[in-house]
Amino acid sequence: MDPSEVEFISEKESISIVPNFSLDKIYLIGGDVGPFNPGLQLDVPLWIAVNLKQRQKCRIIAPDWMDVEILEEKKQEEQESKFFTKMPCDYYMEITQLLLQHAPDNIPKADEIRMLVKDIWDLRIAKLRSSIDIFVKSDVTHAMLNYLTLMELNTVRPFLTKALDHIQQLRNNVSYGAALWSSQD
Amino acid sequence: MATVDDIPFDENGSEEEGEAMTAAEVLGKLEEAWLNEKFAPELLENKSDIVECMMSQIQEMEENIQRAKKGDFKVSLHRMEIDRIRYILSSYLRIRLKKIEKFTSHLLQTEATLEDPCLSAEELHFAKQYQSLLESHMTNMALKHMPPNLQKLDPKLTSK
Repeated sequence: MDPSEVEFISEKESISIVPNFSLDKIYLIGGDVGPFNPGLQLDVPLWIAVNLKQRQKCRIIAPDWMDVEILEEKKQEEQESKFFTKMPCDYYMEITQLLLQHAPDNIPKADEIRMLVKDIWDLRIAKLRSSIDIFVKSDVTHAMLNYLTLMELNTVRPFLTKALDHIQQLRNNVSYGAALWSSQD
Repeated sequence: MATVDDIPFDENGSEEEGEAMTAAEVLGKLEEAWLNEKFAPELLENKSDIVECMMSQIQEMEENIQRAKKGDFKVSLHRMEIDRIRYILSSYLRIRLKKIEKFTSHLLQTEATLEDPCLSAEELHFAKQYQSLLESHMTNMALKHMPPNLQKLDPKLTSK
């Protein structure tokens, strides 16, 4: 799966905005949105929020978890735990990316947040890599991983499944010997 | 995230309650079908009722947009949503076509024996056409020039 498709999926998440225009309720296929009143906060899907922001028609309210203190705690927790910890949002990376790209002026302490999310991401990816390393080197047939987000899974999915496939093939060949090797193709 | 395990749950839902579902639910089902299809190595059952329902929704919405005033602010949001749904739809159908091209003869063989067909009518038509084109291409380009005992395409012996 392409990272842009993961981002596409994450754009369905809802987020609070404060519009600066007024508009009646709109009836989208995926559900109703609105009504919009200037200065009144409401929840909309992320893709609408980003679009409105691009047209300078709203102010995006950062989600609750997008806060330096909470993220620092999260980072600490992630560092101390051997396993993956639950993330405050399943699409934390994508949403941070989108909001910081399109609405950096609406996010308090945007730079610190960017750093923290990147740190958490790096920690988790390093953890994921080392656990995959252990997994592949040991002879177990399955492993359990909790709380991984879609984007994180996606960074390893294509490579890991292919690699395991190859390992399996190589193992088969070793155990069945050269005779199988020639007949397999 | 939707997984292959989720499929049995919505089997009844999509057929019996098809009429009673709201557009948003259908959209959810379509997204689920899209992701399942994307990650499954084989062709899954067809969801043509969902696809058709969504197509008619889009068409209806487009007619509404036509009627709306030009430059209306709402229109751009509606149009954006249509584009998003259309992307999911075409991505879903395209993944299926890719799989059909990959497993043409296997699918056509098993299709006859299955009780509920995996392919929709259009997909079946596509598969048959693709198969015959492929066969005639193979025959014209290579098999004709082979010794007579090797001139047959046996689906059991070929990988396609």
